[in-house]
Amino acid sequence: MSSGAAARLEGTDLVYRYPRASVDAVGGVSVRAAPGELSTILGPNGSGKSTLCRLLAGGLRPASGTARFAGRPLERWPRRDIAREVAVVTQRERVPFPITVRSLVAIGRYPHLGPLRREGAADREAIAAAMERCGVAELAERGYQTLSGGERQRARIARALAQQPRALVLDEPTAALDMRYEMTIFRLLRGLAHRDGVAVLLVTHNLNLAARFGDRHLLLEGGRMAAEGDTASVMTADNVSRVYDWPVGVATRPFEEGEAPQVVPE
Amino acid sequence: MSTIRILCLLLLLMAGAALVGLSVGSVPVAPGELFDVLLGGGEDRTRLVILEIRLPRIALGLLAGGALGTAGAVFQALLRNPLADPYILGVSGGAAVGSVTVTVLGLGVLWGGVTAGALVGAVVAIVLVLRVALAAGPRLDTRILLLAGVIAGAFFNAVILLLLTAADAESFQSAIFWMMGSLGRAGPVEAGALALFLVPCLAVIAALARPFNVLMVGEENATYLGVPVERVKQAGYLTASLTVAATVAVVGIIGFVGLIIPHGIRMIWGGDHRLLLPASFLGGGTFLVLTDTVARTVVAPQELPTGVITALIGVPLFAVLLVRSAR
Repeated sequence: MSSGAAARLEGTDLVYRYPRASVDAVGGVSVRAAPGELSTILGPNGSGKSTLCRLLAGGLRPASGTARFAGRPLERWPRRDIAREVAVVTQRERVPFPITVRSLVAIGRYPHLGPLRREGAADREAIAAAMERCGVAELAERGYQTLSGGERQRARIARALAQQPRALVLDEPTAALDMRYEMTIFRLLRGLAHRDGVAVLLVTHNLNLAARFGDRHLLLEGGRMAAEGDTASVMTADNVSRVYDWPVGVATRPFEEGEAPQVVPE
Repeated sequence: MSTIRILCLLLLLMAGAALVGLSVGSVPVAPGELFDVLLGGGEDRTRLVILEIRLPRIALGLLAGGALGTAGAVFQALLRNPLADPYILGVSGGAAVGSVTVTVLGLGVLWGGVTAGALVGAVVAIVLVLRVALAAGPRLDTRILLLAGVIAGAFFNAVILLLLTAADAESFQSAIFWMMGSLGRAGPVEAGALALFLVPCLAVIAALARPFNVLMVGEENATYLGVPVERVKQAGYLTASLTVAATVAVVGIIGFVGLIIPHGIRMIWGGDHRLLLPASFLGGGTFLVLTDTVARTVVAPQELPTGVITALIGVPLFAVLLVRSAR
C-alpha cells in the first residue's frame, strides 16, 4: 500500500463525557491504529473502551482533542467518504425484519454506491470476497436471524469487509463466542492487518489472545491511559494486576505466531 | 425472480383487479362490453356506470391502497418495528378529530368541508408529534417518536368521543361512517388531487429505499455506513406522514392495508426496500380495489364500509401467510 502511513486512524488527547455524567468516560486518551498492525484496546468494564471506539469511528464528537483518519479530523470528512475508509463493527445489533446474509453483507457497499447507483460487478465481487473471507459464503441465502452467535458476528465482519476499508474498528467482536470462533476471528483480523495492510483496532477482554495476536496495545483504566506500547511493555504482571485489581502471573509461551506473554489470574 | 419481474407481475395483478372492479357491481358488465367502453364505444348507460362511477372509484382505490401500503413500509423501516402501520403516529387520529369536528358543527354539508377538516387535523397531528419528539433533544429518537405518536392517538380518541357525545344522531352516524373509511364518497376531482399530491411524496420515498435498507441494522451502524441518519429519518417521517394525511382526508381511515401489505411482500419476496416500497404500492392498490369491490357488491345495492372489509378479508389472509412463513 503506497499511502500506508497516511491511512492511520488516530486520536489525540481525546476527552468525552456523556450528558448528565459526573466524570469523563474518556479523559485525555491518545491512541493510534497504523496500517498493517493489529492494535488492541484493553481494560476492565467501564474503562471507556467502547466510548473510545465511538470517538474514533466518528459516532461521538470529543469535547476536546481530535480524532483523525489519514491526518484529517473526522468531523471534516463527509459521512459517506469516511465510511469508504473506516468500517466499524459495533458490539451488537438488532435487525427487526428477516434478512438474508447476502443482503446484510451487501449493505456494506452503501458508502460506495450511495442511494441511487446500481450494484455493479465490482460490488458483487467485493460482497462475495468478504463472505468467503469470513467463512459465511455458504450461508449467503440463510436468514441472519437463524444464525448462531458466531455466524452472525462473522456475517457482520463480512459486511465491514465489503466496505473495503483501510481501517477497521471492532468493539468486542468475540464476546460470547466459543473458543473456535474466537480463534477464527483473531486469525482473520491478524491476516487483515499483516497481509492486507488494514489498520485494525480491536477492543477485547481476552488478554491472552490480544497478547498473542496483537502488535500494539492500549490499556485503559477509568477512562485514562494506564499503559501503551508493544506487547512486552504492556502485558506485564504489574500493569495487568494493577488495572484489573486482581493479582496475576505472566509467563511467556511459544506459539505459531511467535512468543507471547500469557496472563494467569492468581 | 428479479425485482423487475416481480413488479411486472404485481402490475398485471393490479390491472386485473381494476378490470374486475370495473365489470362487477350492481349493474354487471360483460367483458366484451367493458372493452367496448374502454375503447370509446358501448351504450351510454354503460359508459356512465363504468367511466363516471366505477373508474374514479377504482383509481382512488389504487392510489389510496398504494399510498397506505408504501407508507406502512416506511413507518416499519423508520421505527424499526413490525407493529408499525401508517396510523401509528397519530395522523389518522388527528384527521378524525378534524373531520368529526366539521361534521358535529354541521359544516359537513359544505363541499370538501370534511376533507379539509381531516387534512387540517392530520397536519396538526404531524406537527404536534414531531415537536414533542424533537423537544427531547436535537436528534429524532424513534422510541420517543413512537411513544409521542401513540399518546397523541389516545388523546385524539378521547377528543373524538367527547365530540360525539355532543353530536345529534345524524352527524353521529356520518362521523362513525367516516372513521370506518370508504372509497364511495370521493369523486374524480379528489382522486386527481390525491394523485398529484402523491407523486412528489412517493418520489422522495423511492429515493430513500437504499438508506432504509441500511437503517435495518440500526441507527448507529447506519451512521458508520455513511447514511445521514437524521436527515433520512426526518425526510421519511415527514413524507410518509403527508402521504397518509392526504389519503385519509380523501377516503377516511381504511385500516389494515398499511400493516399487512408490507409484511406480506416481505414474507414472499424479502425486505429489500428497492422492491418492498414499489411492491407495497402495487399490492396495496390491488388489495384495496378488490376488497372495495366486495364491499360494494355483497349486499348490493347497499354498501359496506371498505375499511371493515379490508380487515375482514385481510386478517384471515394474513394469518395463512403467517402460518406458512413460520413453517
